[in-house]
Amino acid sequence: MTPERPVDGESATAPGGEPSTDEAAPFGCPYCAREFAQADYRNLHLGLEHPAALSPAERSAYESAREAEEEKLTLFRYKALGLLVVVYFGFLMLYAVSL
Amino acid sequence: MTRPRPRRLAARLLAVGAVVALAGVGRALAHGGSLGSDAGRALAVPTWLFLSTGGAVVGVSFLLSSFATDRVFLRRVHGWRRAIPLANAARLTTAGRAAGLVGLALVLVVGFVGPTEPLRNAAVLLVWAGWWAGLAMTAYLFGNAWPVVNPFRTLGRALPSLDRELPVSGGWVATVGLLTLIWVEVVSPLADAPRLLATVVLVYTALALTGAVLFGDRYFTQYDPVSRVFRFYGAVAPVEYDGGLKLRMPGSGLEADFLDGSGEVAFVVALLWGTTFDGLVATPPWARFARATVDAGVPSVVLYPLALAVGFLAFLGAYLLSVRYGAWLADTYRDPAVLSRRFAPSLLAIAAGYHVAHYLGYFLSLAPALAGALANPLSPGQAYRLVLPGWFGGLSLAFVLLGHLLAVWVAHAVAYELFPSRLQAVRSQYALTLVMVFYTMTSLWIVSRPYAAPPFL
Repeated sequence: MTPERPVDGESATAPGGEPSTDEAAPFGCPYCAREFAQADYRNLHLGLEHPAALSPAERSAYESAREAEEEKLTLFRYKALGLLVVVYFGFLMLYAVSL
Repeated sequence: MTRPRPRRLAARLLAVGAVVALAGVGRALAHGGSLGSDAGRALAVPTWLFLSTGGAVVGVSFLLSSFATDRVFLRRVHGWRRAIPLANAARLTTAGRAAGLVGLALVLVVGFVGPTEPLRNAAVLLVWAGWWAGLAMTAYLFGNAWPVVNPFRTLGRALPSLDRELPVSGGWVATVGLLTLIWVEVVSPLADAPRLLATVVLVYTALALTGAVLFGDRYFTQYDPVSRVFRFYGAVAPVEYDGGLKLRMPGSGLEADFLDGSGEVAFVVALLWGTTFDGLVATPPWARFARATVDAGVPSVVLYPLALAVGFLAFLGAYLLSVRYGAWLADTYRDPAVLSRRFAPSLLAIAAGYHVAHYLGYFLSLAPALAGALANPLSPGQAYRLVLPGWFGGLSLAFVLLGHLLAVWVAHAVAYELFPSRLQAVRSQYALTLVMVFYTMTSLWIVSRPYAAPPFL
């Protein structure tokens, strides 16, 4: 299993901006042709797409990436909920003053 | 008999839209309604507020869908299928083909020799109310029956075919074909002149049969814009054909990677823009714009095709740009071409929402006239129209919103398929959601304009 990183349709040029803060990008998947801009994305991809093929190191990398993702998602949910509340009451006010 | 234009719904929708959009502001509305006790429907919701409410509904639905973060759940919902047993499939197919052929013959005969009043002419009613409103609605509400019913395909099968290779891929050819059809439909009185309609159908028949002889069945799957419209609408439907009939969640067909490239993406956008353009040309701002442009020296003949093309390119550009920007936000190496291909089907849900909003009322109100004309095509009696209750306009707005909600949900599921990180998936949709919000607001703005006859036609 050599991580060969063949370049297919998903080319090595990022669509815009700096792809990641990490110097080692792109992170190739050792089991398929896909490349990722962040190590966490690659590790998540490994766990989601190649669960049967993982080495113990890859598995633990997947699990820690998943934990980090879960944490960020929780934060995102709070933000989204806050935004929902703002939108709801914002419109309530808007309707109250303009009708 | 003019075709339905979205602005008919306008006044009623203004008030009802707000209620559907944010149930929480019901009290504010009731309060506003009491200003004029009888003016409940013409309740003065300012246009900007009406538009931003519509936009906010789409934005909020994006936020809500982002709470569905369980991949297993999403996959189960979208992957759910159940086979529908069908006893007499062969007999049904034959019946469908026969119905299509009878319909085509009827349109041609009655179109040329039938009564000239459109409301009593079975050809006009069958094409607009029966086929373009009724059958197209069944395509996304139930399943696409057009491949069976399509009389041109049935005739084409009976002809010998040269079976040539397609010289160019079908997507762009079909896109140009669709835009041409929209142009013909907008600039000519096809719904009022049975003779003209029959002539156009005859020309279309000649084209389709030539295509079938040259390219065989591929003409219908690749080049024919009408078959493609039905096929793409069918992708929204809760029934799919996969060797046998299968039931699925509405919209879950849009999640599949079924577009073959930029041409088919363009076709999806053209379908969406066509509906918008149809409404846009019947608004006062368009009339003013058209007069000003012609005064400035642009020949009136090129005005409509030019506007159609420019608007289409603007819509396509906005979509492609949003996908690129989404790819940048999501920090991905995925090819933008792949992303635009995968997200484009979600727009079909929006197109279907607009179609049902515009045509359900149209179909129901003309159904008695259609039945009457079909009962006696050559000398029909008095034509009756069904009068729809006032709340029906609100139902139409609900369909528009439902289409958008389905689109947001589909894009959410597609993003989860494409990206390993769920936050990446959410970020990839920011720009697309903005485009959908923009699109909702544009359409609601068109819907809320009063009717003005399109000038220079």
